Amino acid sequence: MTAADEPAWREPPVAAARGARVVAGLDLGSDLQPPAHPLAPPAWSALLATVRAQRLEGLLAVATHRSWWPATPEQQAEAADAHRAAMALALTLERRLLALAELFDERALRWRVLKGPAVAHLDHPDPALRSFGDLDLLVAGDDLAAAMALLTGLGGTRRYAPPSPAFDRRFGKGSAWRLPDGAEVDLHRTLALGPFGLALDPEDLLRPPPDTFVVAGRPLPALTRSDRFLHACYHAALGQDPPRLSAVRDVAVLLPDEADARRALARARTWRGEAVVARALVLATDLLGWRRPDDPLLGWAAELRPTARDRRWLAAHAGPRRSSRARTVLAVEGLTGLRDRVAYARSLWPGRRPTPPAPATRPTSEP
Amino acid sequence: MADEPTHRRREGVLHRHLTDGVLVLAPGAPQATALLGTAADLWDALASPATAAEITEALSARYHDHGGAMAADVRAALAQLVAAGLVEVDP
Repeated sequence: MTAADEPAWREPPVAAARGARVVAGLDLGSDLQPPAHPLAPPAWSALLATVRAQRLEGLLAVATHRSWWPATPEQQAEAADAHRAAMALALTLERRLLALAELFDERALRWRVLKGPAVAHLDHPDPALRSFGDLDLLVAGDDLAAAMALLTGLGGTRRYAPPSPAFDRRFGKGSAWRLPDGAEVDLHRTLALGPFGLALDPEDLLRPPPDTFVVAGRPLPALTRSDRFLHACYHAALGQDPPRLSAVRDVAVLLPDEADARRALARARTWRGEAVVARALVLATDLLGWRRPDDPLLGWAAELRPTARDRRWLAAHAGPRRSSRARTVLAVEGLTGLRDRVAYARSLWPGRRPTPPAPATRPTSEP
Repeated sequence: MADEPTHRRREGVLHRHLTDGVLVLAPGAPQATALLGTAADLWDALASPATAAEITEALSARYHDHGGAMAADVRAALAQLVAAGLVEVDP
C-alpha cells in the first residue's frame, strides 16, 4: 500500500507542496501530519525536488531515518543522498567563510554572519539540520567598499551594478557576488530592500557584542539572538514571495522568550517594522501548521492590524503588487529627513558625474 | 601505553553529522568525504585527542568486541584517516 491510496497525497505537485510544509514543521509542534504510508514514486520525486529547493534536506533525512515520515528503503537512501549533497555544499561554504573572516578581521571591518551558518550553529541542536546555499554577511556601510574590493581581489564578480557608489554606501540593501569557485556571497548593508530596509539603522545590529559560533576552532561573529529573530522575520516576510520554507522555519526556531520578545518588538517599533514581524509569525503559523496557543508574541501577531502605510509597504514585497519599482519608489518613505530623501534620489539618478555612470541594472534585485 | 602516539583531528577539518555517518572536509581538499559506520564512530571518538588503544577501548564497549579484532580495525582505519589528511598523529 502507498500514500497514493490517500487522496491528499495522490497528485505529485500537491504531495510535494504539502509534504515540504510537513517536513519543515518537524519538531516544532506542528499539527501537519505526514502520510500514513510511503508516497508513490512520482509524488516522492516531486517531494524530493521541492525539499531541495526549500533547503530542507536535513529535516527530510532525519524524518525518514526516524520513520516519522514513512519511506521505502530506496526513498530513505535518496533522502540521505540529498542531505549529504546539501552538507557538502554547506561545508565548502563554511571553508570559504573562514577564509573571508581572516581577511575581514585583518582589515578590521565591522561585520556579522547572517542566516544559514549562524542559524545552523547557534539555533539548531545539530547544524546538519539547516542547509544553506550561499553566505550572507552584514557589513557596516562605511566598510562595504573595502569588503567589495576584497571580493574583487579574490576574483569575485558582482552580479548587479549599483546606480552609484553613494547608493551602495547609504541606501542599498547590499551586493551579490560570485567567486571563482562558484561560491555566492551576499554583502548586506541592511536587512531588506525598500522602505523597511531604509527605516532601520544597521548600526543597531552592529553595536551590540556579537553572539559567536565556532567553526573549525575559529569563533565567528553573528547577530544577537533577538536580532537573529528579527532578521529571520524580515527575510521571511520581505524576501522571496512565497518565502522559502527554511526561512519561515527560522522564524519559528528563533521565537524569542518573553524578555527577548520585548527587546525585539521595541526594536521593531523603532524600525517601523512591527507589521513585518507580525506577518512573519503569521506566515510561520499558517505554512508550518505551527501552534503555540499560549505564546503572547503569536497572540500579538494574530491581533495586529497593519496601518495603511504598513499595508502599502508590505504590498511592494508580497502579493500581486510586489515589484522592485514599487520598493524603489516607496523606499524614500523609509527615510525621515528631507536631506536623506534628496540624497537617496540623487544616488539613484546620479546625473552629472565626472565619469560615466555604471549601468543601473535592477539595483533593487540585490540580495 | 604511555609512549603510544596520540591521534587528533587535523586543525581546520570541517564536519557534519549525517543520518548514516559523518561528512568531513579537509583544508584544501577538493571535496568532502563521507565516513560511514565505524569510521564515523572513530571520528566521533576523536572529539578529544586519543591513542589507538583508548579508541579501541571505547569502541569495543559499544560493539561488544570481546575477541580483540577491534584493535586491528581501529589501527587500519586511523591509518586511512591520516593518509586522507583528516587526522594527525602527535608522537
